[in-house]
Amino acid sequence: MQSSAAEIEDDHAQSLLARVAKHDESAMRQLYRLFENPVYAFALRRLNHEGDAEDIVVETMYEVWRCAGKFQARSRVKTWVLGIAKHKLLDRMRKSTASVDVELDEDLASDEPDSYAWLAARQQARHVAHCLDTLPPSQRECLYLVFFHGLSLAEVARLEECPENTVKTRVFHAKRKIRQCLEVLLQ
Amino acid sequence: MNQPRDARPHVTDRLDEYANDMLDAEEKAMIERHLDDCEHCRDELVWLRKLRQDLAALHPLREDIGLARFLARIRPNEAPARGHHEVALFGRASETRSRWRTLALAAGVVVVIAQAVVIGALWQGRGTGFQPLSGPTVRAQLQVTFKRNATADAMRRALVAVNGEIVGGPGVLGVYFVRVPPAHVAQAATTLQHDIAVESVDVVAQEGRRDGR
Repeated sequence: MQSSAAEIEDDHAQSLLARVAKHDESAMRQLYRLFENPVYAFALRRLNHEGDAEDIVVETMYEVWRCAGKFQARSRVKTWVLGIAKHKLLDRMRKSTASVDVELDEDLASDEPDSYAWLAARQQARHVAHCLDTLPPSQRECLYLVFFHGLSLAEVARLEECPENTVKTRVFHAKRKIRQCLEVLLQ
Repeated sequence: MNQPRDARPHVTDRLDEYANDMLDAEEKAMIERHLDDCEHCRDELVWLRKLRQDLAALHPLREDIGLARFLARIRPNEAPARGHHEVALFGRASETRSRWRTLALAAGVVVVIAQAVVIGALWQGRGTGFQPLSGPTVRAQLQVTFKRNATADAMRRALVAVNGEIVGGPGVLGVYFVRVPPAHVAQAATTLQHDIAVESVDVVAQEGRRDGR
């Protein structure tokens, strides 16, 4: 049976992780590149603060560096890394009493080259962001984990610490609601 | 016996994994056989792929997010690189750092502002140039002008990307003096030059010369 793309990617990540366990810095750099954006997006969505999200990336990857030898291949490396990020996030959110600021770089965006394609993409992104905001947090989280991070339902269930069927139901409803929301906006 | 096409159950449940390329070859072939005959599932797949693209578009890819700080942390012989809170003047104070360090940083900010006011007044009317505020121990390698509409977050992000630290400014012309790791001055200048928050970057060469970029 041939492997899926996700399995091939995970094999690569596991081989890097094995080298990281021996403190191979070159392997760590490659692993960092593989996961910096998923972890950053994962953190940014919850913290709404780019600097704090970057801190989470550094803290998470430092934990990966320290604990690479403890990885037992019970999950994909990506799920394991996101699990570490989740704990770092929870620690940060528990300690922080600061308000969450939601700041979009709208002004900067206006500096981009003007074109119909860019405007259309921008408009679509706004619609999607708006519709995502209308979802209950648990559904939004599951939708992200499946369609942005590419995790399976079982992996999301492990990360979210809930039954797989719950994840399946959340994703089902999230897809339905976001589709309806986008259809209304595009009418 | 094969079911009539219309009576075949849809494969909607597996399409999420198919769209994410998580199925092995055999499972993919099974889904693709179904898709050949099922317009409903084909439409669903198109929509799922669009959803994936839309979600990805909300998070443009970045490179080297905090990498310099991370590398400094894992290399025992290097001084730890500063966190984003210290790199920018506008960030929230880190909860992990002591109150004294926060106060010290705030005092530094006051000094820098005072310097900008004083030196700005001194240099008024003497051309468009602006001399570095720092002495030999805090030499700035770059003079950076941010765009008028650049947000504090965008400025911070630009500085963090090059492991930069503001050591002076803004001057009367809005120039900030930035220190970056000495080995990466040219690379940092190029990176900043391409950042959408940055208007211009000047490399401050040795012996006070400036190479405009």
